[in-house]
Amino acid sequence: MTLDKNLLFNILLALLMFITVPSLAALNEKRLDVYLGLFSLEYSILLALLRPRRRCKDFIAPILLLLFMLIVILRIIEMLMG
Amino acid sequence: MSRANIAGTGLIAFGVVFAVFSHVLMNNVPLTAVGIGSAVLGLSFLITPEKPLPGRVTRAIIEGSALSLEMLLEELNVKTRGIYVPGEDGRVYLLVPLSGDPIPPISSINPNGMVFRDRRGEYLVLIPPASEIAKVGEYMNVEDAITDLLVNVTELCENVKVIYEDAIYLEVKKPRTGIGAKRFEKTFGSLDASVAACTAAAMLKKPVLVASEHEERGRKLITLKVYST
Repeated sequence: MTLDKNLLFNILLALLMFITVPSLAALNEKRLDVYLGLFSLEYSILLALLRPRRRCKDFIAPILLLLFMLIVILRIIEMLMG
Repeated sequence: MSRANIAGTGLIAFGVVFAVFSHVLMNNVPLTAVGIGSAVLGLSFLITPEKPLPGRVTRAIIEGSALSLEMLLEELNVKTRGIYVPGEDGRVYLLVPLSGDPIPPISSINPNGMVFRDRRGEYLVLIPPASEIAKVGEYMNVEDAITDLLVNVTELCENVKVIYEDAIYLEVKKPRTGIGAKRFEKTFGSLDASVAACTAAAMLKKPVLVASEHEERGRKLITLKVYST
């Protein structure tokens, strides 16, 4: 009997996310886009590796990517404006 | 509401409130990230489908259905290999030609009896054991659908590799089928091949034939022929 891959996906996601935050906090990272970037990377990698079943189309990965891009764009605008 | 849904909703609510408070009141980025992480995890819980039946129960139901079809095939003395054809109602049917080689019908099918007549001939219409399971369309592609249905939903094998090129090629590792339904296997293909062909027909909306099956040392190679019309 193998572990259900849908459950494995959620367990690994929780594990990775709650390792990421203390690790980056220990490095004194203050940029939210770095956290979001890593979250979307972890989510996408797990999605590609485990291919869990979903009730509907998986909208979380695009939302994470969009949030990350939004923060990066705002940062670029901020830099360009001086 | 299941436990996973309750946990998901709780994580989303906690995550959103915690992220907003951490960002607005404390201006703390790591805590805001914890809130966002919780919300993402909660969303992931919410869109994960439940598994109400263990795989072995689904397998037992499918095997029972196959044995029942075996008796019917014995009675009707059917020996020809059938073609899995998607119907207009979304269900997949097995069309067994009553004479000649297996060729899919030209017209779309919506059978309301056991015999379907077409310009290409007459067919005996049967409903494969996995017809209703294959209708559940929550997969991105045919490879994912076949893998999940064979490995997780029905537990008919330990693992499977699926390649879709000119035909669909499957390498089934440690198949768990052994109901000894010879007549069923002649007409439908083996149980795992039948589930795969049924899924492929439902996903691709094209007729599918179990073209060949070879078993050796705990693995089975299956080729599914996909018709263009």
